[in-house]
Amino acid sequence: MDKKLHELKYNYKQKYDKHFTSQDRNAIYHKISNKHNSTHKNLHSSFRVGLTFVAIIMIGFLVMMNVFDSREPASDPEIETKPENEMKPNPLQDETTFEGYVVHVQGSQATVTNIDTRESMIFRNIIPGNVMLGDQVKGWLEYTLSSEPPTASIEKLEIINDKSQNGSNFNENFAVRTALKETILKSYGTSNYDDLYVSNIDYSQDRHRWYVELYNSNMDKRERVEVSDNTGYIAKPHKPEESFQSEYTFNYEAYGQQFKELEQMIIWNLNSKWTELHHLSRQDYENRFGVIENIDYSYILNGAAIDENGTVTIDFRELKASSTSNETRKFINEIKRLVFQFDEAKEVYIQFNGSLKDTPFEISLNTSIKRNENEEPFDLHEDMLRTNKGYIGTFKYLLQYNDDGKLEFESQKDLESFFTRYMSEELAQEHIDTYIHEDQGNFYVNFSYEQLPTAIDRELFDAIKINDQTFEVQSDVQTEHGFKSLKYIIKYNNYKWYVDSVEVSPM
Amino acid sequence: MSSSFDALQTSKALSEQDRLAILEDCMNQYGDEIKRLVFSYVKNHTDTDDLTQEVFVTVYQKIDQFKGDSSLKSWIYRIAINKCKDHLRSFKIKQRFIKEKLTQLWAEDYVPTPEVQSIKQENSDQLLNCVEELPFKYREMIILYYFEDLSIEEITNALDMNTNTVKARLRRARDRLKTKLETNGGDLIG
Repeated sequence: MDKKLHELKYNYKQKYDKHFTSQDRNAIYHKISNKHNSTHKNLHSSFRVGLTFVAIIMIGFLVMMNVFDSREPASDPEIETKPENEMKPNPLQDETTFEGYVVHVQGSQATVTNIDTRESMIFRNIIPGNVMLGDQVKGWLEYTLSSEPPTASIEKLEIINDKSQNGSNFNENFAVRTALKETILKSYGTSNYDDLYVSNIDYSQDRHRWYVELYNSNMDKRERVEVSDNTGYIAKPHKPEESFQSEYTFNYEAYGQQFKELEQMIIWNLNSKWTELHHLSRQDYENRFGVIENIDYSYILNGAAIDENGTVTIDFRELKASSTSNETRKFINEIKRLVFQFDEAKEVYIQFNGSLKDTPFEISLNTSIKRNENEEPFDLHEDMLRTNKGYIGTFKYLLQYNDDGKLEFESQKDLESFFTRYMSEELAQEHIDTYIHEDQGNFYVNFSYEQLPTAIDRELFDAIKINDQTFEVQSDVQTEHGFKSLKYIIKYNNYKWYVDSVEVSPM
Repeated sequence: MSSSFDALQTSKALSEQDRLAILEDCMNQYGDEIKRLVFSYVKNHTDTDDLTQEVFVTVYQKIDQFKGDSSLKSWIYRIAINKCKDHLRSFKIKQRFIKEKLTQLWAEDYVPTPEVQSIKQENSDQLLNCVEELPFKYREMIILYYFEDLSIEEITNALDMNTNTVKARLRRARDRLKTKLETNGGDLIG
C-alpha cells in the first residue's frame, strides 16, 4: 500500500494539473502594491499623531516661557496643581514604548491594540505564560519591523492592570480576558485581531460586575460585556430598561388560548446564541442602541396562542432588523421546528405587534405556514451544525442563566423539556443526573465551564448518512487528556434534530 | 537554497528588497505545488487562483514572523492550508453542505486531460479515486505525505497538530483506503 501510494504521485500531479503562471505572479505584485497604498492611510494617521506631538511640544514650550516670564507670575492653576500621575502619556509619544491591551496570544507572539491611537502591534518575543489575553501591557521596544501591523521585539514588558479594583474578587485583566474569550474572539477566526480594541472598562462595586466594552474597527461594532465578579463568568443577561418595553399587549383570547409550552421554547431560543431568533433580536437591539449587550431577549415575544383547529399565532414585538432571503428562510425553518414538534399544531401565523405586515423580512409572511408530514430536512449541514451548537450550548446556557447556581426551572418536566431540545430523552436524563443538582424542588448547576461535556468544537466535520433520519458525525477533539475521537449519532424526527448518542474514544 | 533565504537567518530587520527577493524565490520554488495543493482543497479553478495569490501576498507580508523553528516549506504550506480551510469554512457560513458541495464541484469543474482519460481505467486511477473519496482529514494526510512529499514533522508544523495525531491519521487514512479497495475488488492492495 505504501509503495502504491508513493507511485501514485505522478497520477495525482497529472490530475491536479495546476501551474503557477505569470498572471498569478503579476496579480500578487498588484495586490501587494494595492496594500502598500492602503497603508499610506495609516501613514496619514501617524502624521496626525506626529503633528499632535509637535503641537504639544510647542504648547509646552509656550507654557514654559510663560512660567519663566518675570513680567507675570506663574499663575496657571491647572498646570501647577495637576498631580503628575494624572498626566496620562500618549502611548506613541515615546517611540520606544507601546501600550495597549493584549487581544490575542499565540506562542511567543502577542497582538496588542490601543484604542486611543487606533494602533496595533505584534510583540514577537514574549515569554509564553508571562503575558495573557486581556493584560494591559507596556512594552519597551528594541526594534520594530515594517509589517502590517508592525512587529516589535520587546526589551522589557510591564503588565499594568493585574491588581484588584475597589475590593473586587477578580482583577481587571481577568475581566477583560473573560470578555474577549467568551464573545468577540469566537467570531474572529484566525486573523484580524489587530482590528479588535478594548475601548472601556468599568467596575460596579454595588452590582459586583465588570463592564468591558470591545470595539471591532473593521465592522464598526461595539459590544459591552458584563462579567460577574462573583463567578468570574459572563454575567446573567438582564432585561432592558422599562421604557424600552412595548406598550402593546397580545390578546390571547382572540387567537384561542395561551400556548405556554411553545412560549417557553421560543423564549429559550431567543436567548440561545446559535439561533436565528437570537440573531435577529441582537440585530434589533444593536440597531436601536448602537451596541451589543448581555440582554435577556424574552421581551421580544408578545405571546403565542393556539385555537381548537390547531392554528398557532406567534406575536413578536416589532423588530428593527433587516434580513436577507437566506436569513428569512432560516427564520421560517426555525419557527417550523419550534411549532410543529407539538403534534397539535397544524399551521402557524407569525405577526409583529398584531400586524402581519410589519415584518423585518423581504418575504411577506401574510399567509400561514402549514405542517407538511413529508417535509424533508432543510439543509443537512446547517441542521447538523446547529444541533451540535445546541447540544453544547445547552450547558453554556445553564452556566449563564442562573442566580448563584440556582436555575429558573419550576419542575423536572421543564428541565427535561429544556434538555431534550437538542438531545434524546436518554442522553438528556444522563446529563441531568451528571450536571444538575436538585435540592428541595430547586435545581442548581453542578458544573463549571471547565467541566463541560466533550463536544465537537469546530465547524468542519465529516457527516455520514446512515439513513434518511440518522447521521453519524465524527471529529477529533483535543481534551486535557489528549486527542479523542468523538462520534455523534444525530437524528431527525418530526421537525426536530437532536443528538441521539455520543461516543468518546481515545485516538 | 537561494541566497535570498539567507536574510531570514539573520536577526536584522528585512529590507523591502530582501522581502521581494524572498517572495520571488518562494514563488519560483513553491508556486506550482502550492497551487496544486490549494486546488486539492477547494476544487475550483477561480478560487484556486485567488487563494494561491493570497498565500504569496501573505508570505510577503508576514515573512518577518517566520521564526525559523519550522522549515520555510512547512510554514508556507501552513499559510496555504489555513487559507483553504478558512475559505471552506466561509462556504459553510453560506449554508453549503461541504461534503455534497465538494463532490459536486469535482464533477462540475474537473475535466480530465486526454492523457488522464486514457489511463482512467488503470488501477492507479482507481486508487486515486479512492483517495478523493476519503474524508477530508484523511485525504489531506495522503496528499501532503505521499503526493507533496512533506515529512511527518513538516505536516505537524503545517497543520499545527500533535505528531502522534498526524501519525495516527496517516495510519487511519491507509486503513480506510485498504478497506475501500478490499470492497472494490482488492487487487491493488500491496
